[in-house]
Amino acid sequence: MIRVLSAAALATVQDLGRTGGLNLGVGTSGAMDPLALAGGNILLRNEENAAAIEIPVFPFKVRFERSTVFAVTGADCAGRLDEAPVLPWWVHRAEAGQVLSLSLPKQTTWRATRAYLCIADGIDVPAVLGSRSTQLRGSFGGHEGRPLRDGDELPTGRSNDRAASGFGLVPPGLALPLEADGMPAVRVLPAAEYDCFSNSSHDALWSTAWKITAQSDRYGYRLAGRELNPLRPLELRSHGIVPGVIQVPHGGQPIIQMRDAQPSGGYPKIGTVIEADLWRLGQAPIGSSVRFIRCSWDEALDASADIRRWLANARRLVELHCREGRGR
Amino acid sequence: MSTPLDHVEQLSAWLKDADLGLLELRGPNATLRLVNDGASVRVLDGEEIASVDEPSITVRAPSPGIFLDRHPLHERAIALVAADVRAGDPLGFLQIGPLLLAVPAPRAGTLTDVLVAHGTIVGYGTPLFALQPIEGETS
Amino acid sequence: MTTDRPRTSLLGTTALLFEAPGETSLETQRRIWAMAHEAAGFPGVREAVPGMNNLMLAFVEPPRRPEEIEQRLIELWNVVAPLPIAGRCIDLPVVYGGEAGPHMSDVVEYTGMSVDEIVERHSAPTYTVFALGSHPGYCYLGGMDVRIATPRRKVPVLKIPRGAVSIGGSQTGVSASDGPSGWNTIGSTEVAFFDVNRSPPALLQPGDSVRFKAARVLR
Repeated sequence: MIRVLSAAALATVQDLGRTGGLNLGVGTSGAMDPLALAGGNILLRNEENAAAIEIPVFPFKVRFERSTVFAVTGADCAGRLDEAPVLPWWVHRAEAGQVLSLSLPKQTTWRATRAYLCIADGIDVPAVLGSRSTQLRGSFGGHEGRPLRDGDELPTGRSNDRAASGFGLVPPGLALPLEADGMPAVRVLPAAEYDCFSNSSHDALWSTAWKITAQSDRYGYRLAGRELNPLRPLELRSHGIVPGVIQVPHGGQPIIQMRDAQPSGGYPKIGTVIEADLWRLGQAPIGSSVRFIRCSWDEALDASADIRRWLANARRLVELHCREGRGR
Repeated sequence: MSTPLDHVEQLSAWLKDADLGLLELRGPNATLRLVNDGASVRVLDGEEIASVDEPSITVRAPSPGIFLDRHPLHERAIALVAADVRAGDPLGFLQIGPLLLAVPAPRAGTLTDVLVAHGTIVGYGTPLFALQPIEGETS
Repeated sequence: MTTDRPRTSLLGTTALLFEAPGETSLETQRRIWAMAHEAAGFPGVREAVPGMNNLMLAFVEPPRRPEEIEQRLIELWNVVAPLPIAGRCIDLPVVYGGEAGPHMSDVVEYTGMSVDEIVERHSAPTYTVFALGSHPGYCYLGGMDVRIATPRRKVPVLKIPRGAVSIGGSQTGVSASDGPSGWNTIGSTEVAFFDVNRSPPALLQPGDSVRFKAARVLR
């Protein structure tokens, strides 16, 4: 079991997301950086979809009530286990009573903003509609359908004899870089209303930097940049959307729908960030800027294959290492 | 006659300027060691030097891979020459594809040398570090 | 935005969107329901999700060639018969106006009608559930009297409560949970549209219908 000693804000239990609920109006939720969550689970020899704690705001502190094997992935948040430094993307063992403290991430070799506390056998909250992700609107899933608070106790799986400690992974943020003109970038496929926008809007979309404003969260990222102008007023009917859709409401400043976005919307869509790059957005800090790179369908599929390959390779090497008994 | 200790301030400034980690001056009657950890320069007393009776240990690569002196997300080496380390502390890392292994200190002691540059491909058994064990301490 | 031909488009590599042509109608929606039934069985499709005269197909795995599935959808549109779903009809007791309808006065001002006229016209029709979306259990309803249509608010309200009965443009709906909204809230109902512990969790599905019954009118 884990006891939350202090949670700044918005820490939630997430897994890779809730699928199959769109016909009920239930969106996917799930980790903003699914690669960090899956990577942490691979380190712990969990199934990829085991639930973890997503921490977007710091400081964050928990106490391990039992001896626990864990890993902190995503952003490097200067973790300490009692007084000892905790390496990021690394398997550690905590003894009963030890306190893990995570602080504001420093932007060093990889710019990132969210951390994931992954536990051997996962956070053992009940699955609701097939997932342990927190559905904030509607208040179900995760831990009581809400962000974590001081004093919360989270059940963890029975001790996992498979998990060895003392090794780690090179973060995919370093292994799979993507930049445009030296700035972190994501790939985008044009969406239905792309052709309804002016040429200068297209140019702005692909050639300029977009700043992630403070009004950005798990529901959506409000961007600041050049105004995007449709050639004529657009009135759309409500239709299904997915995380990554870039909407352009009145005012011309785009909003990227993220994991907790409504699964349907009515604003014009100029493009959609490809699924393979959503984790990069999930790690873009407030106040930072991103670039959009136009890609083809085939390039988007290749990007998804790259992700699958990174996961498979990580899994293979971790399993090889653990089976050879080198983990301490 | 002055001793090296009289010049600590000047020597410290030079050390920082040149971005060097360690300066050791040995004389017949005194030894001065200055260690620069990036934040400050401190003097190590002669008594802190490990006894020369204990042989230096060579820490070797536990597997082939790319030697890293720091975690890929960090900007500083994880262990600096002249630092005291405990048994089990990571001195550096080996990268094998996406996997990272630690190169742990086999015993408590003082790191006296880093033998391989950050980013070098090494084989199993390649000497990586020289460690002066603390007398009487075993892992 | 209506077109005279059906349209398909990509939502990244995650889903495909099909838009039916023409003005929004129940007849078209019945064909969308029929398409959803059939498209749910297409290889690689995880879910077929109707919207307002449109259909989203969410992929398990994106297809190597999306043009093939896009073409298949257009052909399906051309041949599909409207699904004659006659679901159940539910009465929703509503407290209109006053504290239950904080934006009733805005609707009065925009339409020029009295509270009683607005209540009368809002509660007269039988509304069909076209689709679910937006948030868990939320129903997109068709059939509102256009005379009480009121534009969405310039400044959305950060939180309107579960059960809020609202008008946005020419549509009306009931919030199934607390959340932000740019619509005009004219009343409140106690009926629960979503209960995660119930099976099925959503109260209504496409093809069902609702009637608003004025239980009280606060002034």
